[in-house]
Amino acid sequence: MNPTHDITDITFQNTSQLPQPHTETHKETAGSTVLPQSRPPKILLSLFCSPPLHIFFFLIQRISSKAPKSIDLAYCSLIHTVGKAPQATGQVRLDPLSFPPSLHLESDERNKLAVPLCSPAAGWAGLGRARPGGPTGDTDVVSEAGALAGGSCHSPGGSGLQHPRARARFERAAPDNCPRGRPGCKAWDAPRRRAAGAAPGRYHWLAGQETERRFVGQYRKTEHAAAVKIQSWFRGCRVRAYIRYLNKMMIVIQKWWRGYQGRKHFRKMLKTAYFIMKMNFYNEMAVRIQKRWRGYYIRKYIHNYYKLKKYLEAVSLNNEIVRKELEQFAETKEKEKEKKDLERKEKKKDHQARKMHYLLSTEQIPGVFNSPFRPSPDPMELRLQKAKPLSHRHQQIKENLTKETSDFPTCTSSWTFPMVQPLPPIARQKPQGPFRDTAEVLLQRYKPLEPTLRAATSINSLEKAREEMKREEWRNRIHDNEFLPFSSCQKNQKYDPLIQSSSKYGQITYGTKHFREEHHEKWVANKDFETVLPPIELFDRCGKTYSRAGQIV
Amino acid sequence: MSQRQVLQGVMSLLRPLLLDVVPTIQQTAALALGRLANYNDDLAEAVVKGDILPQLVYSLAEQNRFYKKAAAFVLRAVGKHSPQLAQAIVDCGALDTLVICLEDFDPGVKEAAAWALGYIARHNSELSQAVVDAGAVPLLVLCILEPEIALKRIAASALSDISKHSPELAQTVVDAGAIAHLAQMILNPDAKLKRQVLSALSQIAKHSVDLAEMVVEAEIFPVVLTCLKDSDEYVKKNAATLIREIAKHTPELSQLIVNAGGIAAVIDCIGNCKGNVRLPGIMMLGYVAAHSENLAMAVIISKGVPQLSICLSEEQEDHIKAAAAWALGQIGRHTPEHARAIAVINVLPVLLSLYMETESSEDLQVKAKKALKNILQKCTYLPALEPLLHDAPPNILKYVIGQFSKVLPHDSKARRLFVTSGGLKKVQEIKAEPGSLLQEYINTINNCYPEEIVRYYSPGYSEALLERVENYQPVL
Repeated sequence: MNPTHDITDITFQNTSQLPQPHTETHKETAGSTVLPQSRPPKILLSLFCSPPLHIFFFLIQRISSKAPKSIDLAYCSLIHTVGKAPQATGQVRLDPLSFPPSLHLESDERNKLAVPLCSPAAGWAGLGRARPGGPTGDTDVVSEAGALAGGSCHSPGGSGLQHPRARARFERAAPDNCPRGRPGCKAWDAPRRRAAGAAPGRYHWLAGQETERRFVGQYRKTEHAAAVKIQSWFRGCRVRAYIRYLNKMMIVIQKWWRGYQGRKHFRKMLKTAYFIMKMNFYNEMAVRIQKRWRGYYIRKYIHNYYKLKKYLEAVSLNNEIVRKELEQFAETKEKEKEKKDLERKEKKKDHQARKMHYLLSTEQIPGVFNSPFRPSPDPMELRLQKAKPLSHRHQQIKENLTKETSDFPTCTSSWTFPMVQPLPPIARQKPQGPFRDTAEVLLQRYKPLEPTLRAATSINSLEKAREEMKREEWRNRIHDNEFLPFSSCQKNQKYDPLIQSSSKYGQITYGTKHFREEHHEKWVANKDFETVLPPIELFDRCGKTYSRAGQIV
Repeated sequence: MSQRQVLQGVMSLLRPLLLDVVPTIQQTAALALGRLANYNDDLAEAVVKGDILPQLVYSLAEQNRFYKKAAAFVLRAVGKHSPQLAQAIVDCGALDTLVICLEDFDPGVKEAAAWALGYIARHNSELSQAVVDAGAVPLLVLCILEPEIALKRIAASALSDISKHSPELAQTVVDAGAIAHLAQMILNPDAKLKRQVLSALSQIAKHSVDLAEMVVEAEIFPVVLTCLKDSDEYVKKNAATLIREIAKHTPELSQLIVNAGGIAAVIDCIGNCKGNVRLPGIMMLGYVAAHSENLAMAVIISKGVPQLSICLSEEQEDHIKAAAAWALGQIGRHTPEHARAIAVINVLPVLLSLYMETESSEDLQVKAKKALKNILQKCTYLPALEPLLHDAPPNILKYVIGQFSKVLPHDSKARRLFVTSGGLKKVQEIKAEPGSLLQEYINTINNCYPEEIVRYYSPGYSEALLERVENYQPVL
């Protein structure tokens, strides 16, 4: 049996026992940075079933197919070290200085920064780091990976492991061949035997078959216990390292993610803050502008002090003017009134004087107003001198006017003609002469324009009329035979007599005997035929003007 | 025989006379009925009860012009007393015949008919509407255009009576084109015609802004001011009423009047006359001042305030005083500048005394109080406020103290004057309820002065001092 088989065997056996909650375990490992030791190995082992492990095995498969020998060697050296020193950590260090990097198995450098070889992630890390190293990087990986899982190349299938069916077959076969923890297992014996074979120096004092058997019997138990211990410890380390690694990665991822988020948030906040700041600034500026504008506007148009002052001054000035005018108006009114009163008084006095005209002093006898004892006569005397005595007729008329109630039209008993004065003559003199009726004059004045026939016709009326005639002729043509005067074509045509001359009632005498209609009673209108003459302007105006000159008598 | 029986007898005697064959007798009977009805409403009612009206109305359309005149006179005499009697006339169908009479050739008949229509229309808007519905308005407008002054007068009066009730009726009168003709007659030398014309215009303008603008657009404005100088009192009164009715509507119309110099004319008019003629002028000033502070300032610079204060002190009747107080309040309520203009001429004590007097009417008291309140709330002229400190009742004192509390914190000279004139002492004597507005004002004033001064002017300070003298132990 192959030692590779054994390792894979164990691994897969463990895997088969798992309920395969891949994602769950991943979460668990991602969540907790340090896994406690007391945790059941089931969970720890389940880490190996995680996809990286499969890929890792697959890689190993691929690599081992390329360089089987080197893997074998590496694996052997690993086993050898483990077997030689049970206390050795079995850590593998990647030497960054050696190029291509090689594996170093060191037992005493556990404190140094080391990557466990058996961790699949380490393989990945190594792979990741080795890849940019150069063309030889692949081979380095090969050596690393091979050191871990070694002899899968020895399996008869070669690439059988990566195939799921092959893996299942493997799993089915594995428990029968190799139950875990049994001391007599071939899977366990094989590496030891090989180790013994590879390093014969250790058992050189046991020569021969007999001693060998005894030796095996003697150390079997302790070796087995040591191997278990080593393995458990090693696996523990591996898992812890893996968890540590996962945590680290998680931290890295979270760090980056949180940093990204934070920066995003910060940028957003910055943007908002900037926007707010800008808006505040704009608002402040807007307030400033509006303040100025409103102040200006109000002061200019609404509460303009100077305008108001001017307006009030204008109002007071206007008031003064109005007061003065009204004062003048009142004064003139007053004067007029006084004048009227005076006139009325004068009139009254005049009337009085006329009434008392008989008191006028004569040359012989002074009147009552002309006292000889006074230096000057009374003004009434002068008035009496100027006045004309009232006539008696005037009084008569007045008397008549008072009897107004008797002039009712229905009151026949005492009806008389009203004795009112005749109406005064209207100041306007009646115009002389017999004139035409006003309506006629107005008709004449406002009649519409009636142009003469000559003025109304257009200048090219003759041409137009000719055109019209031509068209008429063309329209009314009965046949389109051309007039061919001197041709022989008409020779054989018969002469058509006129309708008038070919009447069966005999020829009409019109044109032969007489040229004028003789039967006047047959006329439609008993009016003479009128020739069309060129218009005479005088006749056009006939009956349309004032004068009767144009009228035909 | 009782009066009623006499009436019955007279009516029964007069009725057959209306049907007499002699027209003179008919007319004289109608004239007699008219004079009887004219005397009082009992007689007018007797005429209505005597079933005389239908007969009159019937013969109104038939008879000659003299009879028509007399019949219209009867109708007028009956209709003038009460809305019920006027309604009785309308129920007889008199309106249609009266309107036909308006189309008569004789101006006397027209006059009588217009007069009767005017008396019917003046009672209420229903009757007025009935007159309008009868188609009287266009004919009345035609009557204005007649050459007879008397007819013009009566027609203008009738139009005034019709349009005074509602905006719609006024609008009908306007639609008939009355305004232009009325406005032309403002300068007519006849005073009585002027009275009626101005009255008609003011009755039209009083209803709404539109109508007032229509009246203004007839270019009455510089012309109507001459009527304020007329010798006739009623012309003055009606002119002032017209201006008031126009000014009361909008600030723009008031502004127009101010720009035309109307305020000065009105103020002069107030100064020239007495009694009720002043009232519309005073109210006009109040209306103009109420519209805006600029217009109020225009009233002040037109020397309106002294004139109003003269009215306030001179007039005997309470309603004119109330109007003057109201107008002053309207002028003074705008800004401290306005209030100062009023306070300077010492109106505030007069207003206060009017408010305090028991004899003055309730309306006057309310108006005086409102005016005082309006003016005091804006007044910062402290010398005028100080006398009020001593006389005013608490509800007025509140405003006075409030003004002091507003001014004193910012004016050191005023603070000094306030102390020397005894104002601070008076303030300390006021007993205000703690927590009231008055107390707050007093506290504000007290805070303007050092504590010892306030204490010095507090009422019981001398006793406190004496007590301290008593309690003092001299150091020997």
